[in-house]
Amino acid sequence: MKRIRILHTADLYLDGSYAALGVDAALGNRLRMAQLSVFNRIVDRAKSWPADAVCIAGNLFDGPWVSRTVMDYVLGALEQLAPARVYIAPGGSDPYAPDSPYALELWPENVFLFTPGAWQSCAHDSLPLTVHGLAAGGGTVAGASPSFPELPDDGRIHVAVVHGVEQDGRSPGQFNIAGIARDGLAYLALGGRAGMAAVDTGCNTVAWYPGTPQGRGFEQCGSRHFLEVEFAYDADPASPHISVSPVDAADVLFEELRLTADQAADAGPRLDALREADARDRVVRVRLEGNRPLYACETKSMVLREARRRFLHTVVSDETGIPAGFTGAVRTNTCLCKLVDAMGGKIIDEPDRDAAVQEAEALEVALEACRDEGLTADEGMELSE
Amino acid sequence: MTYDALTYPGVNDTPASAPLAPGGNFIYCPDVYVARTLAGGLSSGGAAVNVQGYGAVSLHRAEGPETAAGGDSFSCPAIAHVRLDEALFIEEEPDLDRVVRELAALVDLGRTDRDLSVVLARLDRHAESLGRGRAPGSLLAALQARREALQAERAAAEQARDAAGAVEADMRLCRNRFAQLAARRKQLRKTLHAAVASCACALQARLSLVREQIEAFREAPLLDSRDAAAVKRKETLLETAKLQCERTREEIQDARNTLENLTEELPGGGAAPRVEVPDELRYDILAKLKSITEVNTRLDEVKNQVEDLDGQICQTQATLSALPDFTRIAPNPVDWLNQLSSSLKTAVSVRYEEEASREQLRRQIDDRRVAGAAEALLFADIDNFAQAMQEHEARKKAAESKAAQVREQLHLDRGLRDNLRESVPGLAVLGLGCALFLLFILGVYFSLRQNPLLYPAGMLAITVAYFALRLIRIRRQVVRLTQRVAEHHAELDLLAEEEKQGASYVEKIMARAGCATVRELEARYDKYYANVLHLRSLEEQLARQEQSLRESEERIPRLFERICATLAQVDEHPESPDDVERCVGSAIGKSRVYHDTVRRLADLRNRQQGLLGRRRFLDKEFAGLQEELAVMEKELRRIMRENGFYDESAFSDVDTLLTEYYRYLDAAKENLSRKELLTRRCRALEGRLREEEALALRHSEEFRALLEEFGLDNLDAVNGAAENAAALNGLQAESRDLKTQLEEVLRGHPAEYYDLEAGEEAFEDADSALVEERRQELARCDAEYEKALREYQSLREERYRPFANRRGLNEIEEDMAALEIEETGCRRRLAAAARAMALMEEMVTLWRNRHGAAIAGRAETLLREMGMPATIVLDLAPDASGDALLVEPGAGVEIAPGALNLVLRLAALELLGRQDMPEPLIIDGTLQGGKMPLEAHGMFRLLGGIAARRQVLVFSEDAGLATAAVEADWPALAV
Repeated sequence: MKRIRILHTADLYLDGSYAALGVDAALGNRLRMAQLSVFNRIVDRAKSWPADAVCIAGNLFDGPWVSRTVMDYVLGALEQLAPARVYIAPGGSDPYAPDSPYALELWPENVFLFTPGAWQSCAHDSLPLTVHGLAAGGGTVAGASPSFPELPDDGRIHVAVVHGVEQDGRSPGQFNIAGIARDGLAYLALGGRAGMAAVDTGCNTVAWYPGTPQGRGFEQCGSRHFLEVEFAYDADPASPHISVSPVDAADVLFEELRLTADQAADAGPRLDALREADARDRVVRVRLEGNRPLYACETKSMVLREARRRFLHTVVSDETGIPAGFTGAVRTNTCLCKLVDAMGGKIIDEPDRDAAVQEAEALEVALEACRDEGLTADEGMELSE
Repeated sequence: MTYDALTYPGVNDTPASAPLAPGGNFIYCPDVYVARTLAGGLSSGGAAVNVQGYGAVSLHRAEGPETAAGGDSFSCPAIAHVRLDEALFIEEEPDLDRVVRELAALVDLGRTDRDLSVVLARLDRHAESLGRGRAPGSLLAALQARREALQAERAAAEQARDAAGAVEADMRLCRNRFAQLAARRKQLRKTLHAAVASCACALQARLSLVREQIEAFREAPLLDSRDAAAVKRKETLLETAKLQCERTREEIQDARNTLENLTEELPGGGAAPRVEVPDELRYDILAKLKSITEVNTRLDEVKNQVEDLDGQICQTQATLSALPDFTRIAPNPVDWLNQLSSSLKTAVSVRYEEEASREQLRRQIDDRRVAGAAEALLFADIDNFAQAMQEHEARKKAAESKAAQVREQLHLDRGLRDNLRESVPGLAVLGLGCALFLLFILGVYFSLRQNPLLYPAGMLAITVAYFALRLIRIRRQVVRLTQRVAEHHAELDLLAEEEKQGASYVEKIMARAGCATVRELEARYDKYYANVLHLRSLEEQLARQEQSLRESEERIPRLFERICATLAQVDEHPESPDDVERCVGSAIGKSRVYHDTVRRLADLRNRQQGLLGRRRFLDKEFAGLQEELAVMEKELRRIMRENGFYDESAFSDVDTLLTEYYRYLDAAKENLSRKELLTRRCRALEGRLREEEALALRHSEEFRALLEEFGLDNLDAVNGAAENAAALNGLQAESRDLKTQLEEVLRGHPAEYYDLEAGEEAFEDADSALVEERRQELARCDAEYEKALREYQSLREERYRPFANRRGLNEIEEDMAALEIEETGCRRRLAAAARAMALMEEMVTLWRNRHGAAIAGRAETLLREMGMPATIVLDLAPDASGDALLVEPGAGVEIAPGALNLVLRLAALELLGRQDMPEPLIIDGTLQGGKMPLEAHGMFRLLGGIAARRQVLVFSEDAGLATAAVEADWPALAV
């Protein structure tokens, strides 16, 4: 039985910016290194498997400008893949525009770049494999997407590479998958979705989104993958048996952890449990839920302190609710008690959560100042814990 | 909430329990330490107190409905705790200021050592450290500075990206050209490989054929050309020798025949034999003549070249004189012109940059002015905000102080009037009673006529008169006081009206600005002032920038004039600074032409000098040859004269002389005897014949030996073998040639490699020339390819160069985003601190005022219950000026400061405590022998009044107090 092996990946977003995540440049560089590390892992796997072709279905880069270091690294790594062919269909983040690296850089001879405007076909030199592709252009694509060409009955395996979200009943999408998938097309390598997913094409065509091989935000939590696609055939390559195997590739994992404010005190073991499950570096968002404690900022700081000892980066998201007895009872008529009582009343009665949280923070600052001055914060009060 | 029992260590350490009354309880502890420890420990919230050396003492709380509502109060410290020795100033100097301070602290926090002002001060420091008012060194200021640095870095990075973008079009073109060349190169390679494959195939076929032909000669006789030539040469020699012998024999026969027929005598008999010129001398002379001819020829050539060079030098000098003299400009005019041009360019670009900076500064200033316009309208009329604030505060305080004084006076007057009014009915009743009793006594006296009755009647009359007078006086006082109260009211109304109408400037601004507090206004003023400072700084920068721009604008014409003057020397006249670059380029071109011409002239002169040297050398050589020839000619002429040729002097030319001399010798030889000659000839021919015959014999033997050596029979066989060998050699040479061609074509690769590389390309009958042509074409394409690659790489370098040692935009954006988050958090903390401060100040002001008045009222009530009526005015406001505590005791009443403090403290504790579930009041009554400033009975009356509203526990070691407690019917317990 003969086999043709294709490694399918997409949405690497190399040399991207993590400003949306709110991290500083040092951590941004670490995450960019993680992206390069994942890219390197994909190249190593393509060499060792060995893959006959590598299909990159868009968004290899995060934008038109790519730093020289990353560009040289990518060009060198792709050149090393020879004689395996690399097929790149530029995507929405890195369209084939005049100022894009696709139009400016000298790509190795084993790399084939698809251009926008119309579907292109590229027949493999030595294998019965034809790859069709379409690139996203620099401008806004108006009207219908280019029609997929008729496939000849040439006894070859036909694969299509394209970036974008398919049209379905819920969203317009970038292309109509029914217009591409057909019986002669063995595999449709898609890109543009954050998560790995197989698409039902309604015919013999197998279509997959590999998802991002390295997460970029908390909407891409957990393991990330690239796909190993193997076409096995005896005599007629036109009707191969296709197997698709996802390979976990992420170097840095993005995770979310839900904690109630009551659990914040013993957050350490929970965070340890998360780390022990997988030794990879992590960027974690802790969602603090439940009833808001009086010293919520202090609680957040404590959780943040614990988490930053264990993970690359941690964000604590305050999603607590303000309970009815937020401040507790006031026993005396001192000015401080009156202040706490008045602020507590306002916090509870405030319909706007943000305003209530701001007021709660002001109260916390006042009580902390009292505490810092050596005054017991619950002087004449029974404050909530 | 009450305690119903006290448990303490009894006899033999068994716990004993004593019931506690819901009202007042006196716990007598003989030991001071025990009393103080118990009072302190139980008041701090502990359910039980362990007294060292004594045991555990605990209070048991009564079960009641309030338990559920109040929660576990034991875990909370009680504020209802008083130390008598402190409150009564026992062994201390009374200090009313301290009383007010402690009351304020009690009102603020329920404790006496610190009030909320320390918390406010801490919040203020906290806000300051966070960056309120952009204080230098604060977190917000540092973040702002970092933001500005990042913005500058981002602007630089964006500029670098723009600069990179400018190269991209060229880079794209170059890349496309490179791609075309790469495709062409690939196609040419394929074509070449196909041609090589075809050519190699043809060569290999021919090589195979030649090899087959060479194989065919393997059995044939072969004789190489040298051997064949040797055989032929030998055969020719043999034949020649034979023919020579034959001819010599014929000559001998002819000579003998002639000799026999010769009878004539020799002419000129006895003449001396003539000598020929020695060959050595003759050859030397001829050689010298030849050398002289050659030297003459060279001399002519050199002369021609010198003349040609002279012409060229003249022409070059004419060209040079037409060019400007660049040596007057600078030692290196190109560098100097470039330097001038770049200076001008730099000056112009600096001016543009400065202009851009000035425009940017103007825009910033305009933006700042627009942004700060609202604040400017508010604060524009204020020269000194701090002074305005001080005036505002002073006016406010003065108005408040005056209002407070009026209110105090009003309070006093009203109290006095009320007191007087209250005393009127009593006095009237007493007066009326006394009058009735007087009438009764007078009636009894008139009925009985008992004189002793007149004494009480007189006394009563005096009393009635006293009461009457007193009533009249009180009425007058009440009228006066009512009038004063009305005046005070009017005055207060007037003050309020004034306050409403004459609101200070600051308050107007606050109203206009919509600021609720002065602090907010201060914050806005701080912001406005910071904006003004920044604006001034920007204006100063703008002034500096404009000055710099003016200097730049002055500098450019000066520089331009200087460049014009310099360029005028080289006949270039730029019309404007923009034209300078063109003129400099042209001048540089001229400079290059000038230098090339100078170099050429120098070169021509060098060549001229070389030719002149060579001419001198040839002249010298010619003279030497002439001298040598003269010596030889002299010798020649001597020989000729000795041989009888006396006409030699008639010939000056040596060549002609020699010719004539040999002609002379030939004529002399004709005169020799012919017979002698023939005889001599016969002898010579016979000798020669013998030699020739011997030679022919030797050649014949050698010829046979050669044939035997090569195994050949005759000359025909030799010819055949030689032809075979020649054909074989030809084939072998062709084979070698073919191999060389094949190697040349294949260049170290197997032919299959070219077949593989050629792909579908094919060639028919390609030969080496075609391959070479294709190879050359590919080499040209390779050269273009390499050139395009170098150009592309150079452009790529140029594109990335602005980013060298610079961070990427993504890194800067990440730092800015992180900074934004940090700044937002900082602002949020700052807002929280400001909000907390504002609310705290508001609460302190509000509740201190309220509590102050309430405490004063409550203390008056307590004092009245103690029988010490007094009027108390207590002002706990944070900004209170003057006397915060004013006490006017009632007539004949004296209130010790300690008693006053205790009353105020108790009043405060009652007011501040929980009203719905009053906590027990714990009093540390340890006096340690000190003397109380008020009677113990009075104190217990005071505490009794409180005990009616809440439980009171007095711990004391003082026996006097214990006695007074028992006398006041307080349950006393000895621990």
